[in-house]
Amino acid sequence: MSADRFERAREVFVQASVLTAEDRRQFLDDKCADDSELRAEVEELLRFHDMGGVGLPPEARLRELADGIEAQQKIGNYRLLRKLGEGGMGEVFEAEQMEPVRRRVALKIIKWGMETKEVVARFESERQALALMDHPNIARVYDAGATTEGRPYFVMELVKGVPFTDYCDTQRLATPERLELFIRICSGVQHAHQKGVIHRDMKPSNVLVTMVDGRPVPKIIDFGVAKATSQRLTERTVFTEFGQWIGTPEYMSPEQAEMTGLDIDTRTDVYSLGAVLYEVLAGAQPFDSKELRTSGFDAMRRAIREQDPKRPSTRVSTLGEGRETVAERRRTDPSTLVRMLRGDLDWITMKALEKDRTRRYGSPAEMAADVERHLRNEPVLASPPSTAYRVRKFVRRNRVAVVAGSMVVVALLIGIIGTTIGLVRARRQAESAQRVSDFVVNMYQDLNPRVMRSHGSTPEEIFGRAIERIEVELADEPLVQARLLWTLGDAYSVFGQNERARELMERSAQIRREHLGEENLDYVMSISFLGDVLSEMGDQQAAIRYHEHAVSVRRKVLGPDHHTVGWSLRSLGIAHWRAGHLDTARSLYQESLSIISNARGDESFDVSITLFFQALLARDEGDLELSRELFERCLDIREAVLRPHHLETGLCLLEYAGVMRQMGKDDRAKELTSRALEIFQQAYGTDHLTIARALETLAAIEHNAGNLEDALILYGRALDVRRRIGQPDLENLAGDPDFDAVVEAHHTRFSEETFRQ
Amino acid sequence: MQNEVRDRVTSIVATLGGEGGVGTASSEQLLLLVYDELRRLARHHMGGDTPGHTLQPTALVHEAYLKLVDQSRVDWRGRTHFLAYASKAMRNLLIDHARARASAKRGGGSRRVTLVDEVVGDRALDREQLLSLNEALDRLAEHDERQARVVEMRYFGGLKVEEVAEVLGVSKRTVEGYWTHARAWLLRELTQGQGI
Repeated sequence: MSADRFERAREVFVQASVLTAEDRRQFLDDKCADDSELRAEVEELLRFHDMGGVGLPPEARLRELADGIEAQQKIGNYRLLRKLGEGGMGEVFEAEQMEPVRRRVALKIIKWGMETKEVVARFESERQALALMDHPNIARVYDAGATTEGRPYFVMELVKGVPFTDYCDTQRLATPERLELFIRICSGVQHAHQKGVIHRDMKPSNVLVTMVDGRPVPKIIDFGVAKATSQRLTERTVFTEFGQWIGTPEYMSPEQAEMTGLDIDTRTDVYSLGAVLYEVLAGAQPFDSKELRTSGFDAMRRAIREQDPKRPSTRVSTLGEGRETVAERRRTDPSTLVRMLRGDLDWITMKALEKDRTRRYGSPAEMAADVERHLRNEPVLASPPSTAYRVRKFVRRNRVAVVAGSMVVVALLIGIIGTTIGLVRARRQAESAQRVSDFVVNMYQDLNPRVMRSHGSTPEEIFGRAIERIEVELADEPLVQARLLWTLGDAYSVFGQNERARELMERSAQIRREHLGEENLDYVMSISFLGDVLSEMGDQQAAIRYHEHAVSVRRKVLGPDHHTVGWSLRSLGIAHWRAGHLDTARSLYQESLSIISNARGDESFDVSITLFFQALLARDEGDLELSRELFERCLDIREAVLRPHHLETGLCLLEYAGVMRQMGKDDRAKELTSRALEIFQQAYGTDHLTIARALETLAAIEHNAGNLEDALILYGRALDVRRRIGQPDLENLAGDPDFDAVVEAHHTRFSEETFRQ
Repeated sequence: MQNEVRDRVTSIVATLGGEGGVGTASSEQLLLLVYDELRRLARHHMGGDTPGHTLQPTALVHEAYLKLVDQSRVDWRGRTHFLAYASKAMRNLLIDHARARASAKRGGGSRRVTLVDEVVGDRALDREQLLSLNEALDRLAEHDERQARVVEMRYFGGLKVEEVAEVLGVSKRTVEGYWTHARAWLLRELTQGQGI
């Protein structure tokens, strides 16, 4: 295009550009009547003109060029220099204060529409208190005001640092180093509390770690901001219109989530400190952030108020793939980290996160002191958080009036609570709050007491106290004493705490013998249980002695056909079976079965118990066909009389499957085991010894069938379960190099076999 | 040193727009001095450590004027002409910088912009778009040198229409027409490549 034509097109374009579309057409018809090329050129340019033409000057370039400069914006006495960050509540700028002193400050402009006057007024009311704060771990708050647009702003000490959790992770601080920093954060919050200031919005991003003389110093920012900007928490203020969150629900205390917004005290900060500690230890927040934020307003509040977070150690072990990263950021490996958190640090964190603030640490200083005790390897004040709390919650749920009541019931319940803890500790699969409280509910209903009181302490102490009370306070009521000891012992045996059960049973039996004599039924009841426990513990001789005595006394007192005679005969048979006296055991079982069948009915659960042991005996004698028959009968009864998926049915299925395998009927065995596994999983969740056993049986079946790959997977799952079960020996094994080597060898062997196929 | 520069710039600027214009040597010297000053200002404004906010290039140009010229010795005409020079210096600075960045990043070269949305209206251009614009502006200069200068002054120096008219010695209406046309023309260049 010649210069001439370029200019001509420009001229027509400029004239046309100011016209409307209609007029343009007319105008172009006129101007370019005989020049379609010109017309095409002008029309094309007009199209780009209508798009707005080329963009405005390249401001972004200059930012790179100058590496950052705030357009000379001024707010009050402050000149904004650059933006430091943007959060849910507003933007933070580095600013220069002109007068009365010239200094760099951080200026936070609140974003959302709130009553500016009110915010500033609330800030003013706290200003004096804020001014009194002077602590190395607190960023000072200088001023508040409103921009010309009417947005409130706060002026604070400028802290150039990174959020607490980020700092710990990027520096790969080990757990003790993290705790050291945390203690200083506590001391800052404590200082503020002493000056009458509550933070209300403690979270990792409000704690910046800055370097002073080459050492990390945590500084808490935003004191006074949350209170000044606090509104009644409503759905509207928590979610913006786009469904985004404003506050920080992950660190919000239950009382804040209550929304009353009135009754917030220093213990709210203790809770949030707990959440911060949780995250810095476990690498995850107490509540799943995503879940919390997508669950809706009410569900979120309910979770914060009611849902118990997992303990930090449990949280780490359930992180899956993330475990490695979390551990690595703490310069350790997952199993060491879990061990490190278990106990003290779990308890400290959970105590701070108690729903009921009266159960939290009274102050940040108390919390810090406990962390220090932990670091010095002294016993901490925090105790397992479950005991009293869960009982209390249970009581609340059941709306039982809690008043002072009879000694007996209190002592019993304390014993049972202790037992619950024993259960929890012995079998971690029962850890979930729900299952534990279900258990307590059952025990509670069995005893049907009218009163309940809780004594929060370690299970050992509760146990000790219960025994002590039974021994001391009921010294002149020996029979009540004996009964309580028996009850406690029974509870312990149910949970497999045989050693403790034995002690209690012996004591109970001793008291009853002294006061009632050996021919007494209550005494017999004590020794019967004692015999069962001893038999399980391997002392068949003693067991046989006790059961023989029990049989003779019950026969004499109750008559030969009484069902308890059948029980004692069965127990005696079991002891003989375990001792290897198979013939004796067989005839004892036979005798027991006929008595129980007559007394309780052929189809009673009681009968199925005897059948079960007969089946095991037949198996041991090599009469697999008989064993199969007995298991079938046992199974039929259990499925008929027990509720579906009863554990006892599961146990029967599992043992039965073993016999089927011996008979070479792997298909049947597989079906039985799968059913058993389903029952165990329903009852126990994922981690229980029976689950591991079922998986191992299935693995063996697959292995036998030549499905090595499936076998390998099943063995692996079983091994995982065993590792997680938390049986002390296995637990210690997990992570042990030797143990891992064995596992490795297993895997290698299976892999090799798979390859050969 | 700073005073010497200021004296030198002021004396050059004082002759700008006057009778006879300014010699080539002085013209080049002015361009360099302004260029350096702009770069210095940009660095000065860096202040903190990380980029946060943006700065209008035109604001920088005006700031350079305040720094470099003793206003008591220069009238509005001198100021306008200074800004015209500074626009060129600013353009050079931005382009040099963008080239350095681009080549540091991926061995030079630039790409044609294809997405209209990215370059129209009130959006700032990115580095590569800026380089493309620079090339398009050179092509515009092949058609009409003066029109390209209008863009340069408006775009990189933030001069007002009447100021540009003063520098070029043409009417305001002409400048307005040139500016409107150039924006459409450049956008077509950026989105379609070589064009006509």
